[in-house]
Amino acid sequence: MTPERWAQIRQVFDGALERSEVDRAAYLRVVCARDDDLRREVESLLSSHDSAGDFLDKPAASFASTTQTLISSGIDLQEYPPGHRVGPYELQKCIGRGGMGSVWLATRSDNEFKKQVAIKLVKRGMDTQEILRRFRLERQLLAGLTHPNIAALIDGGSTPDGLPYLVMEYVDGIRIDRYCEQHKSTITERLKLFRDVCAAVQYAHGNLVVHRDLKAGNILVTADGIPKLLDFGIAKLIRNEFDTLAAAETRPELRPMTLDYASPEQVRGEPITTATDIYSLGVLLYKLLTGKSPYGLAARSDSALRKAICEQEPLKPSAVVLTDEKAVIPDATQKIDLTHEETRDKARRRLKKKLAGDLDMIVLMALRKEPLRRYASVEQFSGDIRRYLEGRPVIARSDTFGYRSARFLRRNAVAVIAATVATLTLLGATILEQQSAARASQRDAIAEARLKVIEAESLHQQGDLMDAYFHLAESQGPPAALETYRSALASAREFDRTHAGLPAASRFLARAAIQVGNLAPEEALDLFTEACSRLDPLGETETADYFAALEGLGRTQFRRRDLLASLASFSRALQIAERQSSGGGKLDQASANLWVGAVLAHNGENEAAAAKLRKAFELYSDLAGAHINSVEDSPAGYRKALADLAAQASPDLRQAIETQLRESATS
Amino acid sequence: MAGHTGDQGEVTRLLGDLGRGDKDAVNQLLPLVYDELHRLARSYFRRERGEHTLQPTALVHEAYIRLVDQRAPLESRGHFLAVAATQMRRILLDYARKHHAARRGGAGQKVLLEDTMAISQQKPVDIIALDAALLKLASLDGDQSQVVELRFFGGLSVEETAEVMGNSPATVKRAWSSARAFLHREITGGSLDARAMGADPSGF
Repeated sequence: MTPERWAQIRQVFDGALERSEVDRAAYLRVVCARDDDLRREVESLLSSHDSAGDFLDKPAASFASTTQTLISSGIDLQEYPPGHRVGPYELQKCIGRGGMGSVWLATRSDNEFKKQVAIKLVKRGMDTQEILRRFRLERQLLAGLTHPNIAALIDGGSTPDGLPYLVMEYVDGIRIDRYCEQHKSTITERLKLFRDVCAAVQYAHGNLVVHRDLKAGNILVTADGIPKLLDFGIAKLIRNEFDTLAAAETRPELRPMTLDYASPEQVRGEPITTATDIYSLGVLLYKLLTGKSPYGLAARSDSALRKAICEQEPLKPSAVVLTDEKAVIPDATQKIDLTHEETRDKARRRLKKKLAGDLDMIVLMALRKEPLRRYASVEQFSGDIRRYLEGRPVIARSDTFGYRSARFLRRNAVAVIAATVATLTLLGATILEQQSAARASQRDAIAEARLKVIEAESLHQQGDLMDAYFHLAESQGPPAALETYRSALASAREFDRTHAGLPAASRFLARAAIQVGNLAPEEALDLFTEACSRLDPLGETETADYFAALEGLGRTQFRRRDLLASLASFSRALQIAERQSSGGGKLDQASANLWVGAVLAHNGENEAAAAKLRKAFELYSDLAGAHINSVEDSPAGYRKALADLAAQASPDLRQAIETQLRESATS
Repeated sequence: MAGHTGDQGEVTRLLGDLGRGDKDAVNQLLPLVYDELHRLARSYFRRERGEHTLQPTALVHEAYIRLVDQRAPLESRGHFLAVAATQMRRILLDYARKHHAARRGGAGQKVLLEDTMAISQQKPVDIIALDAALLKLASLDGDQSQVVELRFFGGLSVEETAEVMGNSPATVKRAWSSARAFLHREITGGSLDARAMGADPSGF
């Protein structure tokens, strides 16, 4: 078949499709009068068309296997070939891969001793500022850490195409949990091994480094039985915590965290301290002693696990051992044959006895929800295990009463918060004695709003939390409000991440993005665009939120002198406002008209501009209940009239008009 | 949205180059687009596990929002979507071929895009056969082949496809109908040349 022939077939086919099935035969007879071959081709295509069903109707991206393919093929395509040189090192084989890059076993090719090292490479295409920054940080952190239980940094550099790499001590070992399994380690052996891990973490903490991602997969045990801590990839310097947390909050996908070992504060995105590592160590110990996760069945889905981490008390290790068929770990006295039902049962009961009491208490103390109620340091945690091994009383037991009363307080959070409000108000009064009463009442309002935030947070009511944030921001006023709105946005992002697809999640996110966009011009374009793209799929394109997003977008585009885009945004905003009949609609209409007029004027379209500004002027006059006589029918004339009008309007309206006039003025 | 600010400038610049006729820019664009698609697919997969189906066009569109400066000229969007669609096709084909090779000897097994959405009765698509048929269509009408690439692999709507190709939606719809009939006939072995070889019970 030639292209010309195909074009002919297509034309007849298109014509046939436009006709009803009854008329088709006659149509084909006429059109293909002297060309039977053409008729047959078209008829065959029509029959194929009729039997095609939904063939190709759904895009490839909607097939589950496409997603799978994208996920798995990405790994294949990103690979560096073995033998590839990185600086003086020769890659041998890939020993680990992650979202950001890969880890390779390599040898120094100019070295006669052929010392093996591990090289960590950033994946091509992943060399974004954030990841490069994190890479530099890891190098900086590791360079400062020298400990027999921490894999050492040997070297670092960048490849000819500019990707950074780290050269680290190669640890030839297996994951700590598998090591214990394979060696059928006794409880005592496990505890001793665990204390070595604690020593490494304690050392890191002493150097102001929190690991943040402690898990069995990051701890390898060598053939000599020495555990080595790997991957300070997401570790942070303690003193910079707030700075880095904010960065991670805005990029949830860049906040790698192993949920299994995550602490409540990590799940909630709260500040991370050394107590976070203590919690993760608690999870590790729990797993080493029972072979199970602290939240057992709750771990079915990520969201259920998140909830369990924040709310559910873990089962005592001894209780898990008895109910779980598989949880059989030899006790300290003897190695046992686990193939026999009877001995397995006996071993299980012996293990339960061994764990019940002190070990239960020790593990649970590390796993407490509130960071401050855990062990005060890794040293103390490790010390308690030592005391247990030596048969001396452990701290974890003596602390139980205090812990219980703390739990009581937590359960009665609302009452406690009320009491705190009273205390804070008293405190506020003392500090503010010298200040004006107005300032004091504003402070009170802020303090109260702040507590509302805490309360909503503790109750996990995202809607209330958003309201509380907005209320707080309003009582603060700019510039402090920006930080509050940012917190609201971060919280909304987190909520959206855990409740993907929930319309409310998109709505919260859009609302917060609009507020941050209003106060942070630098990020406004992205934020308003995001707000629109969040509301679009919900079909909520006629709402006040959507109007606000469009207006914000228009203002931002105007500031960037992108007049056409700005005009488009304001025109859409105007359409929305015009379809609204309520009182708010009038104000929105007025402001959208003013903006459309201002942008048109900038574009030199004076006549159209004057019409819109006239409309704005009329609407604002109505709202202000004021009249200005003798207005010149030109953009400049209406701008002047609007300024005069503002002077007679209520404070809010005055501010609104003056702000718009100022922002839309020629710079 | 924070976006990949590093990549964003780069992608936007390359799209500009492409718009000025620098065909080499495509080769530099492909890996960047690929990485983004890959990354997004992973995050979608993680987020939507079990509970939601993958939003068909969301991947490519989100990649665009993240990778391209929104102030870029409109035509850049078209170039981007075209590159993304080509890339999706290439990824799927490479993968299918690899699987095909791995299974060879297993009596000519097909590599199918299966649909896991329970409500739909959609038939699976043999991706290797589809690619061959598309190549054949491209030799007859390059525009039609591109329409299929944009719509099936890029997940674009009729309107978006029209925008990318600079045609009217009606033209795209017409091109789509005959292209789909052609491809379906090719894949199901119903091409006229093939039929002519044996008795045709349907009377054609």
